[in-house]
Order: sequence, then structure tokens, then C-alpha cells
Amino acid sequence: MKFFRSTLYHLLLGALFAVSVFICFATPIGGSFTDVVTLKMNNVANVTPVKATITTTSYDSVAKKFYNAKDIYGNEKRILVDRSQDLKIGDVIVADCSYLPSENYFDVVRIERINPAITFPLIQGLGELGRNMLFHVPMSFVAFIAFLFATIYSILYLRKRKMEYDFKARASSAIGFMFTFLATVTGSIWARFSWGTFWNWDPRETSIFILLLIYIAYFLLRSLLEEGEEKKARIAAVYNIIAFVTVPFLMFVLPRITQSLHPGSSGTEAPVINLSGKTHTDPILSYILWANVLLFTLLFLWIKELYTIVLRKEFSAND
Amino acid sequence: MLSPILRKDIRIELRSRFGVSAVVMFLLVTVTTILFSAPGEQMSSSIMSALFWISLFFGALTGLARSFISEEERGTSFLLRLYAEPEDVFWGKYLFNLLLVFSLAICAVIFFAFFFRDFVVRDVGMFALQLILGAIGTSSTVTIVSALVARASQKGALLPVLALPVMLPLVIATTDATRITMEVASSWNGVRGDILILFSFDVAVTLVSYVLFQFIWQE
Amino acid sequence: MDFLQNHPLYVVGIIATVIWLGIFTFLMRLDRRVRKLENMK
Repeated sequence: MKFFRSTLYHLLLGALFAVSVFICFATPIGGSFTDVVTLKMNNVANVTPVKATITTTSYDSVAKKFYNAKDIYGNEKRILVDRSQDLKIGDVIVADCSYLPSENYFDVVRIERINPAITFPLIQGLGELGRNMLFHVPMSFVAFIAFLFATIYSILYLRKRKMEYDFKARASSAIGFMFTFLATVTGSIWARFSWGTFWNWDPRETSIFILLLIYIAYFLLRSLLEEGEEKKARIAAVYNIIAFVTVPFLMFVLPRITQSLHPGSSGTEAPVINLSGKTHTDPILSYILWANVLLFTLLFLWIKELYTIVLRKEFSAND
Repeated sequence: MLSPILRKDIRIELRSRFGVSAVVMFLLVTVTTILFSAPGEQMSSSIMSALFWISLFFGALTGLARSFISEEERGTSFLLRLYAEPEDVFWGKYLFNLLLVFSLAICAVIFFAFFFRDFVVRDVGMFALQLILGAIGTSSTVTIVSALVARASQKGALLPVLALPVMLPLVIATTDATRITMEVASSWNGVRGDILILFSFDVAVTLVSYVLFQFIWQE
Repeated sequence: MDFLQNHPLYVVGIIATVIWLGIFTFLMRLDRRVRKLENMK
């Protein structure tokens, strides 16, 4: 466990952090041709960024050149580009495109980047705000992992009766609560800019609120019990296990079976964790998200280690 | 040892009738408060369902808390620990609380049907089923949480704070199911999901509390 | 608010900065606490 405080670990964390910041801010957003059409048909946006690879050389009309380009799903379409741009086969472009249904091509309004290192996937209707995904989703997933760890440590404490497990359970619960709270806050800010209000009491928001209440109750229980440390730990461990019985239901089942604004509710398609193999967002999204989940998990392990040490020292200092 | 514990509690109860009368009075007072705070209001089925279950949950919290706390206060818990197996204590208390919640539920139905003309149940079978399942869920949660809280300092305040968040999936399922059974005469399709949730919640909480009880109970 | 509505990238920027600053301050404080406790021993 000392590993989590070692320089190697911190370097790994720092590298992952740098990658995450880079992905968050330095990558252009690129969608598919289907996105352009859908967003235009629904009157959401006339111009949408697309990431596509040039497949044929230009064949031209007067001031502009036609190319054929293939997007991430393999749709090959005609695009119309300014004569000033010189594109070769195999170039990857990220460009703002608009679609004219009457003609059968996509008009490139502006080329954002040629041959970018990484592009950020487009989530329909969200645009730049989609970058919030990098925080909101990984934090709530790592919160679940933290609560799972807390329950496992609680079970271990009940079986082995070593205070060490109680410290770890407490630390994990605290970090899980912190991440849930942050996920809720990022979610509500995101909601303000997407749907208009900070809090809507829709099923996903309500179930997360319940989750926060349950773990607040856990810490309240610990502070209001007037017993020896050992008994406090035992009772708290039991409550933690009872609380965790509701967590998978609240986090994963309930929001999916009720109707709500949040993506992944009944009737919509969950972009990240869903039962069908395919999603209709860019596969790169999975890699980016799991990279951030890894980052936050590593952070969790480090913070848990530190907090456990603090609890342990304070406990032995009290003896 | 199970039935002696259960019988002891029932006998004490029948002797003084504290538990049942507290619960019935609580219900009466709650219904009266509702009547006076919204006089003559026509209430939709969702509001009726919500009020019904709120009364039931808080009635259960008030009435069931005694099961372990009174043992602590009277000093008999030590005796129980010595002579009885934890499983017997658990099932004894569990079944007693279950009986209490069932009587609470029946009273609630009678009071609500009598006092509120908007409380009309169309699908009686499904209503009864979700009532029974909801009662089991409430009683099992409150049993284990009151065991947890019996040793705490602020027992009164802590019990609802700990029990209600854990029960919230139950709240969602029962209020929804009650609302549907009040609206539609043959409601199986609508309540099917809720019944499933209730059933799994009941099984999960009962199992988990049975397994965990011995850790709370022993010294 | 209008500025933020029209430039959502800055919304993400502010959220990211606050979160990371918060996490790092928390970590620094924790580390200091641990170091103090270890020095006391």
C-alpha cells in the first residue's frame, strides 16, 4: 500500500492527468455526417463539426473542390471545400459542415484542423459542453467503486475485527461521498446550461440525492453513537452493508426504468454503459471515458491511502 | 426460543397495548391533521397515495422503535443476550414488528377509506398485494435499523434519518403502485414493475438483516 | 451568465479548474497532516 505514495505512482498519475487535460481542452470536436443531417432535420444546428478522412482526390467545379470523405462510421459522402485548401488522400480533417438536402453533398464552411492527434467525439445537441462528460461520468463511476470498496472493507471488518479495515471503510465512504457530491454539482451546472435549471427533481437527480442522504446518515451514525471505538465500527459496518444494498438499484436500475431528461433513461440510449453492444456515439468516447475513470480511480486509491494513515495515527494517538 | 420471544412480546403488548394504541392514535392524529390542513380539497390519486404511505412510514417508525429500545431501557437486553440465540431474537422481533405493521396498515386503510372520499381503490387484489409487500419491507428495514440505533444517544432523531433513505426505493415503488391501483381496475401491467421492485427489496433487506443481526447483537 | 451561455468551453474550463484545484488542495492538506503526524511519532 506504500506504493500509492511512491514517486512512480505520482508520476503515473501526473502523466494521466496531463493527458486528460489535453483531451479536455486541446482537442477539436468531431462528429459524423449522420450527426449533421440529424441536427439539421431537428432544427438544432445548421453547422456541425465532422471528422472525416479524405478518400478521393478533388474533382472540381469553379471555385470549390469536391472530395469524397469517409467519417468514423464508414459513411462516405461528398464534401465541398474551398479552392484554397489542398487536401490529399488519407488526410483527416475536422471541419464544420452544413448539409443541403437538395444537392447531395456537405458544404465545408470551415476547416478546423487537419490531421489532429485526437478528436473529441460529438454528442448531439451538446457541442462544447460535451467535454463535461470527462468529469461527470468518471466521477460518478469511481464513486460507485469507492462505495463498493467501503462495503468490502466493512464485510472484512466484521469477519476479521481488525480496526485497519474500519479505517479503510470510513476513508472509502468519505471519498465516495465526495465524488458523488462533485458528480451531482457538475451534473447540475451542466443541466443549467443544457436544460435551463440547476435542479429538476427528475428520477436520476432524485436517486443521487437519496444516495447522498444515505451516506450522510452513515457519518451521522458514526458521530452520534456513544460507544467504544470497536462497537461504533461494528454498527457502522453493518449500516454500510445495508446501505450498499440500495446503491446499485439507485445508481443503475432506477434511472434506466423511469422516464427522465438524463441520457440513458427509458426511451433513450445510454451512451456509456448499456446492454446492446453498439452505441451511436464515437467509439473514441469509450477510450477517453475509461482513461478518465482510471485517473480518478488512481486518485481515489491515493487519497484513501492518505486518509487511512491519518485515521490510524489519530486512533493510536488517542490510546 | 423463537416463539417464546414472539409470544412474550405479544403478551406484553396485549397487556398494556402501548404499541398498538400509540400507532392507532398516531394514524388518527395524522389523518385529522391532513383533514384540517386541506379541508374539502379534492385530492388526486397520487396525492392520496403519497399521504397514505407517509402516514404509514412514520407510523411504523414511531411504533416499531420500541422493539429494541425498550429492551435497552428496561435492562432486559442483557438477559436476552445470555439466553437466546441471535437468530431467535432476530426472527422474534422481526415477526412481532411485522404483525404491528400489518395492523398499522389495516388501520390506515380503514381510516383513509372512512375519512377521505377520494381514497377509492379500484384494483383491490393488487392493492392488497403491494400493501403486504410494502409492509414487509418497512418492518424489516425499521427492525434492523432500530437494532442499530438502540445503542445511540439521539435515538429518536436518528431512526428516521437512517431508515428513510434506505427505504426510499420502497417509497417510490409503493406510492406508484398504490396510485395505479386506485386509478385502474385491472392494473397488473402497470404495477408489475413495482411489485418486482418490492419483492426484491423485501427479500434483499430481510436476508441482509438476518445475516448482519448477529454482529450488532453480540457484545 | 450570457457570456457563459455563449461560450460553453469556458463553462467546462471553470468546472475543470475548480475540481482539480479542489482535489489538489485537499491532497496537499492531507499530506501535510500525515507528515505532521509522522514527525510527531
